[in-house]
Amino acid sequence: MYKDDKNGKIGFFITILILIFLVIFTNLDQNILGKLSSPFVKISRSAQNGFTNLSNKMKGNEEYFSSLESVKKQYEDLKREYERLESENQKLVVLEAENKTLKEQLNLAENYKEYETIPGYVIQKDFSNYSKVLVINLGSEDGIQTGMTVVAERGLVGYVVSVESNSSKVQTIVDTASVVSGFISNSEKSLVARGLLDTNERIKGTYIDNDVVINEGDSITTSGLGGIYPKNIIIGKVGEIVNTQNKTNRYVYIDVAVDFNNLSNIIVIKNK
Amino acid sequence: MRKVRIIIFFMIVYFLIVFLQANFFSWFNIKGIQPNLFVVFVLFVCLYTNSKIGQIMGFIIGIFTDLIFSNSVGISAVLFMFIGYAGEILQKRFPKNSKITLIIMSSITTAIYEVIRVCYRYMFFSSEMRFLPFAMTLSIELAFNALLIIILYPVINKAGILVDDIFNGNDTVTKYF
Repeated sequence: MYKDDKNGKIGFFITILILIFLVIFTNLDQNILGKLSSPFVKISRSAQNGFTNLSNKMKGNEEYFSSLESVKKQYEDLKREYERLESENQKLVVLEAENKTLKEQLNLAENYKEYETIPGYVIQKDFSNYSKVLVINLGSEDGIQTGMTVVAERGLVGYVVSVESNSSKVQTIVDTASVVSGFISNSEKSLVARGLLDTNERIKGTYIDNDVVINEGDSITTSGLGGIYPKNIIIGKVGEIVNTQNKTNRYVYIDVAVDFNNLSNIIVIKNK
Repeated sequence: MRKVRIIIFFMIVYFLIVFLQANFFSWFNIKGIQPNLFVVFVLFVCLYTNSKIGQIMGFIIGIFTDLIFSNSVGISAVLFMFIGYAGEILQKRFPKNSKITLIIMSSITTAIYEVIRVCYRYMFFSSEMRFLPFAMTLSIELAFNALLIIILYPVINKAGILVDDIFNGNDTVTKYF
């Protein structure tokens, strides 16, 4: 009984102490309380910040991954769009080239409208260093025949020497085997022009009459003599006059009107 | 069967050369002058197969070349056949597994081929013929061919040994040593 009373009293005092402690602690100055609680708060806040950051990051990652998916989708869409535009662009480039070729051929046809013509283009050039023969895309199926004259926008190219079904070979005026009869523009006197081995830009004009006054820059056109080339097609201009001791041997170098190194579009004049 | 495969391979190489001559060398040239890979190719075929095959191949290649490029069919066929014959004579006198002799052989055959062609054009097409421009053009062409042989020699040599092995049982080395 005594023992129980003793334990009861101790319990009673402990309870009173706890109550007093609580009353004193809860009624202390807030600053002091803050100072006292600060380390705990710091620790707890750091922990709380850590948890919050982690939580935010997890949340952000979710957003990040979800936005990545949409970026990927956008990328795929843009890629498809780019491919479509590129394909369209290529088509436009082809159309532009085609348009250019057709325009050139139209101009060509306009230049030679007095003749019946067939437009075409060069598909191959001679590999040999000693002959200058071209292959064009027109053949017997297009109505091409041997001996037809071939011209370009600026002037005479040559004539057809052989014909296959879909292509023809053209001997150019710069070929060493080519002979063209031409007129000197200011005199209406003729000369004979031949190709040279070492150049595509000049041909040699010989058999010039003694009484002809010839000047650099004079135009040379076809004379129509010889039966191959029609009259008045431009061959080129006199680039150099070489006078010899004997005047009958004098000759000229003619700068050909056509750029044979970059020749692509041509037209074939049908024989009348 | 291996011989047939090699001949088919030769035809593919021929068309590759046609492409190179018609397109690549039309801008990759020296002063507007192209090499003549056809002669080098025919010479190679003649040296490493045997004379008969070389001459037949030369004839066929010549016909094709004339049909594609030239305005007179037949001249290249005859000349390439002649190169086949010349190749046989040359390979008896010179070792073919040497860069220098290959260059000399190619230069001799190219020069003969071009001189005959120009003379032919002069005779039958009244082509203009001036020695100096011709000599100049030919010199550049030979130099170009020589440079290409030097560059391609490792390939030519390896392919030559392989072809020689198939057609002649590879006595290339033992023949000279």
